[in-house]
Amino acid sequence: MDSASMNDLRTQLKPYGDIPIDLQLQLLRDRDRRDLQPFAHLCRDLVDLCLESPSARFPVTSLPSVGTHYILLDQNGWHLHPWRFTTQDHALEEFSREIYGSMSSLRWTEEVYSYVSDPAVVLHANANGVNERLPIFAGVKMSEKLPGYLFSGPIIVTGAHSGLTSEQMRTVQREVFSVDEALGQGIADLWYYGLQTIDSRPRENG
Amino acid sequence: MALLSMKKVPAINPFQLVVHENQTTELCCPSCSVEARQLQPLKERQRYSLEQLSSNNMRGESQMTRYQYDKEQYTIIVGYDAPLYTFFAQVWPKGGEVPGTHPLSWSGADGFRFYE
Repeated sequence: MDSASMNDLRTQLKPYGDIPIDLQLQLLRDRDRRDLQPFAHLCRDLVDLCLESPSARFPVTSLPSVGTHYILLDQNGWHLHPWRFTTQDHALEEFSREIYGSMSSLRWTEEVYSYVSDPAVVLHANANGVNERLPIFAGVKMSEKLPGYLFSGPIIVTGAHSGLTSEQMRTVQREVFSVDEALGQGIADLWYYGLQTIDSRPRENG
Repeated sequence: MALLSMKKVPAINPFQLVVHENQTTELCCPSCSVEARQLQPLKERQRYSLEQLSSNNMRGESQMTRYQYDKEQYTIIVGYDAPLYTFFAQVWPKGGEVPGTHPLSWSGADGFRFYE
């Protein structure tokens, strides 16, 4: 007997229109409330749900063909900026201000190198975002074997030492996504609940 | 989205879910091929559901959730069936008896079935 996953449900109901995304979120909550899922399952389902939103991906038509850029993902979605920094430190200071907001003492952001398939694409995130339970604005879709990840608070996407090239922008377009504002609170609640209960959850293949 | 009217979808609040309904009227479990008229009388099934709730569900929640919405000419029912560890979906013609005896599509623990 095979159970039906959320993806099975989407496939089955496709001829009758998409399942409303807030209802999909409700169904994931229903399942997790009754059958605590392996964290990887929950994570994969939340990532897939975020990708159901038409605004999740950076619009292909807006991909720049020249110059280098960086991307800010916050509560208002995608922001593409030309790379204008003279030094790496200058860039990091600016990113810290954008991610932490106005602060009297500067804090460096956490640099995540391995979540995108191109190791030269760097995600700058709030180092204490999970502990502070910041809203979820962005995530990463990984390969089939890895569940993906959601980030706490705004993130900035750059190259390793400068802006993103056109090729790197295409990689970001495929793998990084924005979380629909309508889903944000529900996604964050389930995500943090998942993290909080991670030790009591079954293993994915156990 | 004027064509989409949602029903029975509670406000988003993941840890204080309120609306969960047992299917106690005319449906067997969504993955079961037993038709409603072959089931036990309604009164007995309701009592069985209550016993199940008290013995198997320490949190006092229903084991099954069920939501219904209309889209174009269809009435769609989706939910989660905890005892069978599966999501389920049913598609019915809008305006007819829901649930009735002739679904357009049905899925759950036994794969998909399309009747159109």
